[in-house]
Amino acid sequence: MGRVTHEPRIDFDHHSPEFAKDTHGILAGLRATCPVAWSEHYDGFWVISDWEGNREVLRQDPIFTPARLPWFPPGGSLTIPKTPGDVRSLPIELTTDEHAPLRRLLNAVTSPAASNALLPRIEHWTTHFIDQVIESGECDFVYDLATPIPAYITLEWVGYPLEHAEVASTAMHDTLGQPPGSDAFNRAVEAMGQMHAIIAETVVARRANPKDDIISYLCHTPVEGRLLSDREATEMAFTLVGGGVDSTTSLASSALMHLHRDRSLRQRLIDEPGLLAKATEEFLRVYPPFASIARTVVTDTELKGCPMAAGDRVYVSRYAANFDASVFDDAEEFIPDRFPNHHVSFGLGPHRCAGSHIARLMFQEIMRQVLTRMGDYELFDDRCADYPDHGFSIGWVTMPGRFTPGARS
Amino acid sequence: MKIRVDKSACQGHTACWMAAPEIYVLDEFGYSGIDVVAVTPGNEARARAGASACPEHAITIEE
Repeated sequence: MGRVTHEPRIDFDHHSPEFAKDTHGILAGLRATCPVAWSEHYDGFWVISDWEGNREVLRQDPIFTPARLPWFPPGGSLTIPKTPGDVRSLPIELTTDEHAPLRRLLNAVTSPAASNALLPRIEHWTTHFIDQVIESGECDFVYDLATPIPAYITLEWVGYPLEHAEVASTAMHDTLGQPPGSDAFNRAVEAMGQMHAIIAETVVARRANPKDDIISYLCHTPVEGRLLSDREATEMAFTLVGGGVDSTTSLASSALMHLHRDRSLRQRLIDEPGLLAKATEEFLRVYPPFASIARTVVTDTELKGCPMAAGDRVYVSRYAANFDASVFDDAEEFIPDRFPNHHVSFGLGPHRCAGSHIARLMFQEIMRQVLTRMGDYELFDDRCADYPDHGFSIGWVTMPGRFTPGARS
Repeated sequence: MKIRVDKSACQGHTACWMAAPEIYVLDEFGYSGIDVVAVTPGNEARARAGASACPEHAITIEE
């Protein structure tokens, strides 16, 4: 393999205010001119901005690893720059072989059949939180609905003590949504530490006295003839909470904003409830909650003709892939019944979002109840705010609005 | 007509199953439960739809 020159060079910073302001335009420009390119920010990284590049990186898991290998610098490998701390996202941050048995353990409780068993709880929490605001005719669609509903469903399922639910939902929502360095952001980082401690304590408690929840399942189900350590079980549960608590929030908030702006589509979804299943995939395509993911090159390789060196970091833009016109006809159009819809919002390859089935069910129940119980809602545009940083996530921080008051369920 | 699922490429997206659940049966982990299956007459269009839905391109149709 020849010397790696790290070219073509681009000036790309996904955490910059410029990127937050024009995410779509910047990624479209890169995809059209250099879908594999090198940015010098954050000690250097590759930027992948087409669908084929997403697929090649994510399928070649042993070469583009999500793992934390001993010879890599410390920190979380799924973001650029690396996330500080030594709490791993499990089972993602493992090598291909280490990952497989832990992923199987998770698949058994996140399959469509297992996810469908959660439907009564999904309906319960959605009804519960809409009931809290339905009589007033006003609410914040993010803080009152899109944040707590997925949070309570996920936390109850995992077995996280619900009296501390707010610690978890604040931690997740405000680390994604508030500007780094702000008071709200710093409080959220502190809450993240508390959330980890609460999960670790719960693992110890469930190890001794199992209940009917995921933490107990993780503590007591053998994997290849052994039980997970407390650390592994904690890291698995922490990742489930992290993956489940604010991602559906972002998707629901983006969809509610979309339907605030497109009343005829809203009416169509009210008139044809069967359309929601396919529309869910289109909302996922156009508004990927986790809009990027990172990998690290394990051995010198080549991607679409670009030589890459072992240790190189790779930023994979799901958002950019989802608007790739070589895969999606009329990629710029929102087509509610688009089919097939090969969006990569749940990723591709062996680390495909394990919670994708639960996420779809939560999203669809939130939308179903909002459209039937608060179907004439409108948002106060001047008081809505989207995430100030689009480096990892896109969605809305806050979305106050009003609707015709209704009765509690 | 036959469906062939490359099970090593299946990642459990379940896009095939969402398109045609009666053809694309899942295993207990939510991954494809079939590898090679003959399509019963009249189900060709649904089999094609399920195959086209797979984002991993794991499913081929053999005429």
